Amino acid sequence: MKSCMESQVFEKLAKIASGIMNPEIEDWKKHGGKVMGYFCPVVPEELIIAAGVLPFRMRATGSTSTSRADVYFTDFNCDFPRHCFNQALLGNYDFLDGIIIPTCCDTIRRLLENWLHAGIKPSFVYQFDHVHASREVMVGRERDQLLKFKKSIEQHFKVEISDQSLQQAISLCNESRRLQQKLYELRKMDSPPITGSETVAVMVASSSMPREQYNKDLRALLDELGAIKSDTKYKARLMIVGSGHDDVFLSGIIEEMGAALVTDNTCYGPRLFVQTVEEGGTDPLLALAKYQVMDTPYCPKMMGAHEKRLQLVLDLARDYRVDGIIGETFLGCDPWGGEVFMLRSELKDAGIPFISYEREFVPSLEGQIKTRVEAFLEMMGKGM
Amino acid sequence: MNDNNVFDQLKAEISKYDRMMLADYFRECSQKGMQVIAGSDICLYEVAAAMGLPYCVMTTVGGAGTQIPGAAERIDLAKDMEFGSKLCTCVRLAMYYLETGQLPVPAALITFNTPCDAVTTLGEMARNYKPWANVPKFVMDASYSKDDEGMKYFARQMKQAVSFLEEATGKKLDKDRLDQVCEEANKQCRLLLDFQELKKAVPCPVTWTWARDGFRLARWMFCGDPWVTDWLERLIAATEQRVKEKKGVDGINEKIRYMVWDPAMVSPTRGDYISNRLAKELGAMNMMDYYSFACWTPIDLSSEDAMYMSFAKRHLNETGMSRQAMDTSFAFAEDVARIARDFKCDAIVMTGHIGHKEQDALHEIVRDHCRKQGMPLLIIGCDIWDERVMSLDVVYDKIRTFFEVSGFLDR
Amino acid sequence: MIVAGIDIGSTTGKAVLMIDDKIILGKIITVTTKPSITASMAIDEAIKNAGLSGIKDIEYIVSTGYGRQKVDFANENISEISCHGRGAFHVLPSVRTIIDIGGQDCKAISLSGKGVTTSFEMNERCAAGTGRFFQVMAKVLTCGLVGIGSLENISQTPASISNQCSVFAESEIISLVNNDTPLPDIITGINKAVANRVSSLVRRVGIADDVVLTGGCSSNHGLTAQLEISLGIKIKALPLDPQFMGAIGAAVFAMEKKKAQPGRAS
Repeated sequence: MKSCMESQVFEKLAKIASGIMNPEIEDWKKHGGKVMGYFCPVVPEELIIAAGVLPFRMRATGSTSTSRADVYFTDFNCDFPRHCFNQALLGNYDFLDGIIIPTCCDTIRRLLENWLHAGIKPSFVYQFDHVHASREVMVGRERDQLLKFKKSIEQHFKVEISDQSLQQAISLCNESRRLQQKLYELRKMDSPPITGSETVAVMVASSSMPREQYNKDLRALLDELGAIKSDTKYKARLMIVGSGHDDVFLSGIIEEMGAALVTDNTCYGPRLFVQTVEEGGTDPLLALAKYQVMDTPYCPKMMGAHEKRLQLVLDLARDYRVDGIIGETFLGCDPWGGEVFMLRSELKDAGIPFISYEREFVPSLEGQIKTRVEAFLEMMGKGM
Repeated sequence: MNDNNVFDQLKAEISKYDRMMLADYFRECSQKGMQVIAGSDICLYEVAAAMGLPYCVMTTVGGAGTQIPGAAERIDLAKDMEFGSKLCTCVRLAMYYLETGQLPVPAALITFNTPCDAVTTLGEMARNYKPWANVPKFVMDASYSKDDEGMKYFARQMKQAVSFLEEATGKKLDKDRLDQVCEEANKQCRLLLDFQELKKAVPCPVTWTWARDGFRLARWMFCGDPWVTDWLERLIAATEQRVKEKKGVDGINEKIRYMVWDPAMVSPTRGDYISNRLAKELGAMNMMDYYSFACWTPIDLSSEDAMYMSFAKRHLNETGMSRQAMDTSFAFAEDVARIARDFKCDAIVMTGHIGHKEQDALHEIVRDHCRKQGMPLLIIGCDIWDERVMSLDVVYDKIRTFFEVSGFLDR
Repeated sequence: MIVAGIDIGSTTGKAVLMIDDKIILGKIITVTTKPSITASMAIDEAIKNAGLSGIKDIEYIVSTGYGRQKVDFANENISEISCHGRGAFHVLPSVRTIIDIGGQDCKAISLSGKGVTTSFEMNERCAAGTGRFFQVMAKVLTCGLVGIGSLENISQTPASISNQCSVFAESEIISLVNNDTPLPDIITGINKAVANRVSSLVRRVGIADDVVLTGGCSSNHGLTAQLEISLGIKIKALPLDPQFMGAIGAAVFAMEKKKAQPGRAS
């Protein structure tokens, strides 16, 4: 599917998504602002924002080597955290004032210890030991852990996070969620005004810049997109299911083969915004805890939530009129390996065509992915 | 005095129980009408024993499947099922057994996030396995924080798990029976610790497999069963005699002491080939692997809460792989160097098993710590569950080279 | 006193004689199916070069390398780790870090000031970062192994080759060739990929000057340059053929063992 967009706002967001450092962060730092890196949406940005700190979701965009990180890991570890760590070892994350490493998966979890051992910046490293099972009884535990996390940020940055500031941060992030929902809604159209790879750029930018500005830019972009009369052609409407798909290039390859990526269930997609955090209550920390444990479909590392994720996939496939689904796993990601295995038979039962592949962080198998997508389209009778 | 017949007798008494880790055994239990509990990891053995419920630990069954004839074919069939290229072989086989219907439909399923991502994924697959749709299910979340709060969090869930098991099986847990099991388990714990002390003698009086067998019997297969207590007492008596006589293992002229920190590599066709060859050719004694290292604290029976805290600690802190996987790399590094020194080991060998992601991610910290402690360390990176990844002879050669470079072969 | 060191690797066999202090190198030969035969052929070359009449003149033989245990006429065998370390130290006493990239494995060895190995790391399980990787790539490109190592093919704009698996990297190279990427860029990219892989291994043992490169890949100028960039060091040239360091080390050990034998006049 080809792009039909000419937008300065989009260019700005795409530029932010195309690298690690960007003018927004530079400006933020220039004015004395602090930045805190984090892995994975299990870390609530709201708490960081409420502290007046800019949350930056860790990426390794542009990284081509894990040579330094591989002193600490082996090639059986997923290479996304290895690439991120490599970037940090090269000093490309020296601008961070802190980093939060959740206990979300084995390799990311161990980053904390290796980070401390390597003695690299930032020196404030916090392990967020969150709940890993979607059970109501565990919401209290999650709240306890969020409280510890909150106190840690307050102590390090010498700020106080009031309930009010947290409520405001929740409102701000919920606004992003609603705007992102609107963005995705546009892709339900027969001729979406925005491609899949462009959407990835917009989603990635959200966790790489100040949230107020992002919301403003996204509103402007939605206005522009609303005015576009698109008549782009494509062979099939596809969806990607997987983890950290922050790869504009890879989405572009798939769309180059004539497919339109109209939605997804990845760590940068609807999982982040299909639910909003409850507002207006008396305990915003509890609201965040409930959101993380019970409301958001999260990822396969959250036990007991597979049905939720499957239902989300089926709902999205229906609402976005998806012709087929691509399951994408990072090599070395056990939770997604199992998830894709289960989806294979579940989607077959649901009558939805499905293929899957394993990839490395740097998508070197461009030719293989193109061949797979092409064959998939042909298999669905959409190839010609 | 030739005491080999004593040890042979002890071995003969337990060899028939090896099959209690196999999928076949649990199917037979189910066919006999027994209510089998399925779990993704080793936990709540004391409760299962008190309730008289066979406990099919899927991961263990997977691992056992890699050590019996036909392993290679099984592993290849498992690979064809596409669970993930870089998945641990042991868990891959467990998934294979699950997805091909070779595990009996359990009366209840308990799953965890311990010790690692692969086992968590196995648990999720079991939860969503269609033939088990009507099986009552319970999920437990372990904290990675080893503080009091983290332990209490898990202990609370263990209590809830008991209520779950009672409801799922219709069997009430007899608290007196549980106390009985725990008291006996404590005796066994004490005996295993005593046995472990005897192994510190130079020369080491027994091979590493005895402690592993003791662990299996006392923790998995016959938790709290008095005949295991008796067996351990006889094992200790025979071992004590050897220590008194300053006698090592028959036929081995002990020159080097090393420990394998991972489960030891046991071949489906050649058994304990590596340990045996290293012992015979180089006088190198394998002192232990981490399933034959006893580090348990007795179960505190002063109150119900204290008891469940003990259960939580036994699961999270005191079972080899959980201890490694759930704690920090720093704790693990200090642990392993300390244990090596306590047992007068000359070196540590981390065999490695491919797919164990969190272990792969701690090598540098362990390497650095051992270097600072002056403890020679070899990290091999083979697959203890599939010898085709790195053949036994190549593994042997790497260990031999390591001993040579470390100057041990000149002794 | 005449002793010998024989290094039977996975792809080549080499032998060295030590006549008192003097080192005489043999010729690099391709391995045969039997390590003993390879060893015989290798030692014959060294004997020829030394002008000796036969193997009977040699008082002690140490074998090393992949096939070391199968050389039935050797007095003893010692690992290639110890032999590479000893050999390099013997010819260049300032060496502290050795990077050995052989046909099927690669190693990093750290030495003390006395030439004793203090730590080592070997690659795990796969061909990435070994000579095998180059062989696979050389088949695809028309320049061959010599071309991959040639000074002429060093470029300042290396192509990106991100795949760590040599099987899949081959596909990447084919794509680059089909896209008319200049040959020097591809070759430099290959050398960079190997250097990155090997660098992780070296960092695990720690880097201390002087650093040397041994093994079959040591004549690859491009690889040397990329290792220097990746590790931020200068690789020192060895005064003798780097491919013989294992055999030299074995010969040095042979000399020590012979001198230490009881009844030997000092």
